[in-house]
This record gives sequence, C-alpha cells and structure tokens, in this order.
Amino acid sequence: MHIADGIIPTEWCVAAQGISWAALYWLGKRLETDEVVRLGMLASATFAISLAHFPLGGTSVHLGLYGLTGILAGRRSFPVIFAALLFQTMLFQHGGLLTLGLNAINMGTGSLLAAFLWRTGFGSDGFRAFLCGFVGVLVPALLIAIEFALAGYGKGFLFMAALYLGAAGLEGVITLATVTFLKTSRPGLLQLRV
Amino acid sequence: MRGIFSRLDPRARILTIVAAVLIVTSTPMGVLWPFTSYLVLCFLLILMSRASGFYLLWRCLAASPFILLAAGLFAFQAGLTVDGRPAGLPLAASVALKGYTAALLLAFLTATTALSDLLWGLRHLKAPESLNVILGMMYRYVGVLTEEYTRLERARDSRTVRPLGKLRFHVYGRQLGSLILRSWDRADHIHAAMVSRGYDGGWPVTISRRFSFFDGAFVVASSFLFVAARLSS
Repeated sequence: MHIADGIIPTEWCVAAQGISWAALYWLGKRLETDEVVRLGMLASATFAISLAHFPLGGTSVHLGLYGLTGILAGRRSFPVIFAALLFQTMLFQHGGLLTLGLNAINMGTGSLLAAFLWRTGFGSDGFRAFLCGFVGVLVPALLIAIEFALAGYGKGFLFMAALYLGAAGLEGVITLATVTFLKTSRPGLLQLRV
Repeated sequence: MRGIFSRLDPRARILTIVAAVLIVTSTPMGVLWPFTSYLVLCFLLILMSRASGFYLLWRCLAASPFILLAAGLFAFQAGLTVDGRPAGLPLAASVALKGYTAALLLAFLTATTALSDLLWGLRHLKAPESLNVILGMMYRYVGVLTEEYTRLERARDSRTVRPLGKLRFHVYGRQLGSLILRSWDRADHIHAAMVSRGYDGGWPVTISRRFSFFDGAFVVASSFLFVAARLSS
C-alpha cells in the first residue's frame, strides 16, 4: 500500500509533499505538552501493532490502524500517520522519500475521514467503529487506485483496491472490538475533542 | 572506519539523497541511457561510505513488490507488439530502473546515517515541531511498545488451550485496546516526569554541528553530477 519512488510522476509527488507538509503544520499547531507525549506514544503503539501479522484466509495481513488512529487522535491523526510513515520508510523501505507526502495524503485521508465519522455521532458506537476501521483502509486503497489510473497504469489497481475489501472488513471488525474494549475500560479515551 | 559520506553533516546527507532521488525520478519515461551513469554515481557514493552491499541489496529487495507490480502493469496494459512482446516494455523498464535506483539511494542514506542523526537533520532542516517531537517519542518508545505487544501475544498463546476460532478477532481487538491503554498511561507518567525536568513543549538538543563549506560543496557537486548524467543522454 506504500507507493515507492519513481512510480508516480515526480511533479505529482512534489505537489503532494507541499500539501502534506502544509497539512502537517496546520493540523499539528498549538499542541499541548501532554497531547504531544500521548500522540508520540499512540504513534509508537500503532507502529508496533502494525508490525504484527494476523491470519486471514490461509494468509496473513498486517493492520494499518488508520481508522483507530482517527478515532483516538482526531485531526491530530495526520501528524501521527505522517510520523509513522516516515519511520516505516526509514526502517523498512516501505514507501519512498519523494512519495512520503503522497502516502501521507492517502493514509491520512482515511484517518481524517474516520475521525470525522466517529465525531458525527450517527448510528451506534459499534457501527461507527466498524465503519471507521473499514474506510480507514478502503479510502487509501481507492486513492492509490485512482492515482495509478490517472498516471497511466490502466485500471489494474482498481481491481486491487477491490481485493482490499477483505482487509478493510477485517480492520473494521478489529477496530470494533478495540473500541468496545476501550468503551468498557476507559470511555473517556473515546470522547477526546481533538 | 567511516567513509566521507558518513562524516558529512546529517543535513547535507539528507539533501544530497533527496536531490539525487528528485533528479533520477524526474527522468522522462522511456529514457533509459542515464541510468548507467546514475548507477555509476551510486556506486561511487557507496565506495565513499563503505556501506554494506548485502544490506543495500536486502533493502532494495524489500521495495521490490510494489516496483515490480507497477512495472508489470505498464508492460502489459499496452498489449503486445506484432512479434508477441509486451508493447509497454521500455516504459516498464523505466519504472523499474527509477524505482530501484531511488530505493538504492534511500537504502544508502539509512545505511550511512543513524536514525538519531536523521531525526536531528530533519529537525535542523526546520521540520514542524509536532513531527519532531512525535518522531523523538517514537525513536525512544517503539522498541518498548513492540516488546510489550510481544509479551501480550506470548501471554495470550500460553493461556489459550484451543484455537481461538471465530473469537480471535475480538481477542486481537481487546489486545490492541490493552496496548493502547498501557501506552496512554505510560504517556501520562512520561509527561509528568518530563514536566518535572522543565519540559515546555520543545525538544532539547544538546548536540551541535556546523554545516561546513565542504558539506555545502558536496551537496552541490553531487547534484551537479546527477544533473550532468541526466543531460548527457
């Protein structure tokens, strides 16, 4: 899911870098000191969890937790996702230097959309939690597919995005279970207005 | 013994590699000649740094799935030529060469620059403070939380006498919730400790380095060579 360098036109990557750095400044400004530490720990926790693989249909997948990050960190989820992506690029070569901005926009959009959905308050908490986990994966997959189609790679990636429906469903179920657990043990965590 | 590249200021190393990646990836599609020169320049950089070839190869392999998938799509989506070869082959080769050269340059940067130096470099290149602090926290605590998550998994496995079956996703979800709760509580303790030591939102830096004339000259010279390699074709 992490686009490597050299695949998408460079002008697009540079423009995406500009947008994502501007978003990083805007969405990360006026952070309280306790908030900074919590975001750092949340980024570390989501990064640690994303390293673990879960069995699914004879294979294994790893979670992105973009939806859960959106629920917990709200609009601050963008700096969290950006930092986690930068770490993954440096440590594991997932993604590239120039495509960091584009990857942050793709994943961050899923996370911000989940943050918005969670805070709208429609439907039950369980339904919203599932939906947040689901869109947190599916929206980045769709954005990548659209970017590849526009870059001239044909519609092959749209088919791949459809394959991500299963992973999005799994992420939705796990997000639902996590939110249910947090609601029971620390409900205040799910009501942060950030 | 460290090579010349490893002795540069981290800002110079980051700028050198970003400029090189920018030049390599902006090479027009289907133009393959400059890649011989690019690879020679990469090889010279590697010689100057004494980076491990095995590490660089391993990191390039890690980037392979996405690069090969993209190249494959380009190769076959244009159909076949009259002699049965994929019509998009030059474009696919272009995508693969750009992808692997950029991956090699990134791997080279991480092989020659410690993560703490990269974070120091980003900070001094005026990255937003929110990013610097989150990265600083990640640098310190990713290992701790990964270890904690491994302990949670070990505890789950040692106490589960039968396969979890359909329940497993609920168990995984609660496990994630548990880790998030622990990290949240840990964050409160860390914050209290940091405030007691005078933390006011800024990340103190004790290491001071000077961006020397040689650092600047290296960035300019390497960028010039990559541009020359591209234009010479």
